[in-house]
Amino acid sequence: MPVSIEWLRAEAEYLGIMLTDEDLSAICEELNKTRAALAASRQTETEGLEPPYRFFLPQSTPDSTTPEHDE
Amino acid sequence: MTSELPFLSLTTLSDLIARRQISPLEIALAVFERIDRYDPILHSYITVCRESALAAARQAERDIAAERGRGPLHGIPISHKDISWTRGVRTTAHSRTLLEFIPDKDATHVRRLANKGMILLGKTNTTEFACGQMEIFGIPRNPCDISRYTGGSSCGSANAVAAGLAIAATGSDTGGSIRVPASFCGIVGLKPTFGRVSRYGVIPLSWSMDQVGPMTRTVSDAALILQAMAGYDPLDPTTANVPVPDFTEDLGKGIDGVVLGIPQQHFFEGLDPEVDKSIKIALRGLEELGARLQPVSLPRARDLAIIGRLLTMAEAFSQHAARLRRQVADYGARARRRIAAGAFYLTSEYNEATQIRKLWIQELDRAMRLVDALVIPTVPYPAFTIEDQIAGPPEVDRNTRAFNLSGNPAVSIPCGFTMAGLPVGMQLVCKWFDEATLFRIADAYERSTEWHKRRPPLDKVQEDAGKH
Repeated sequence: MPVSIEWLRAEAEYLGIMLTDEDLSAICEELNKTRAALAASRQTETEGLEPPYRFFLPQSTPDSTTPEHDE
Repeated sequence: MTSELPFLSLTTLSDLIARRQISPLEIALAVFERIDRYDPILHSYITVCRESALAAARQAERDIAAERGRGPLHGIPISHKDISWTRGVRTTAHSRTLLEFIPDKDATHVRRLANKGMILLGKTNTTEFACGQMEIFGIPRNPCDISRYTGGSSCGSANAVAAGLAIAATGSDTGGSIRVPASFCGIVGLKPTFGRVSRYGVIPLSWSMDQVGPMTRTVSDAALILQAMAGYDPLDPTTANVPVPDFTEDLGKGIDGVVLGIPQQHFFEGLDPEVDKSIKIALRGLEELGARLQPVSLPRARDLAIIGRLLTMAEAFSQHAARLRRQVADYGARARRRIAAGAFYLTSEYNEATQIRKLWIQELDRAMRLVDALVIPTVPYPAFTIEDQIAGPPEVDRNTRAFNLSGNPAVSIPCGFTMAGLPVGMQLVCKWFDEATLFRIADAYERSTEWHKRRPPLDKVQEDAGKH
């Protein structure tokens, strides 16, 4: 279901960010484009797809200590 | 000689300083002369640090004469993108919200380069918060054609290095912001491995994708600068506690037997014909140097651009939330809309994008085990016009953002020019923390060509300036 400007306006108010109608319109368009792209890439199975831990922990040398697929 | 100095490589200048054939002061003065002449047209700089730079150059001269040299970077000017903290020098991120911000600390990479004796020349122009417009300090112009944009967001660093208004510079890259302007301006731009260089003191956009890297005229210059910047930093917990090798060790060793992966999906699609031609000639050149080209399959690359932007803006919003609440009207419209959009993605959407990111990383890892590096056009087309930049720029991150998502190191090097004289960039991507191989391959290609020696037609810049 596409994002509506009314929903965005309510959320922006909740977040305390004053956005203009032009801002909301541009954001609405961007969000709906992104949602369409996500829908097109949607996975049929999601169990086990955990975040890539590389971006959370200080890294050791990948080849020597990182087991394969240990993300 | 003075007019040549700003176009000599850092490596050459360093050698001339060591042999006492030129002084740091001469170099700084030569670059400032060029800044005075061309910066009003090119808009490379937001802040120029003339007095402090000249004082530092004189001190460097005394130190080197007294055998207190600090290595090959001592006395060489450096310019930093205006999102990097510089102690005592304003750091604006091209934003009205930060016009008065004067950091009391240096960013880690700024400090490390200063500790090696590099001299701060100035703060280079950037898009607002690395994602918006440029409404205060002017839009940087491409020195190869001033009706064209430099690419961003490290726009001022790129055109300064290309036009001899800087010897070397640093930039930041979240989706291509070093590599795209490097490609459009015909210079070398490196995005290191995520975690290779500290981001402490760098105004953030995306905490999981931002990286800081060198922008230079030659590959060896980039290697020297990365050498000084790289390494674990306790002030940035995302930096990797891995050894920093000698990035210059393999320069000049050639690429005989190196395997270069050519992705079969996405990256070579929709190329401008002149970009396509330049890349094909470059690939033949790499084969003649002894490399073997190997097709690799990367079908997930097609999914990534919008996914990457979702993650970037969701993370950017988390950084900007408080400032947006206080000063939303002080943001330019483009930065405000892009960053605020990040507030409205659902948690499920952010997580879903992260899962797609993981699948891409796994796919890329499998491909990278078969090759030493990937070779890809940096941007599918050459620099577009300033009017297009203002109206709403075309997608430029199509071939670059994938490697911010994965964290792999990637460099853009010049590989040709269009008939109209616009640079074309070739991107090399290596395994995590394998910048040494990246430099080796890029250096071998650079030695076999003359692209890096070509200079923008600056006399024409002044003539055309009257028309724009």
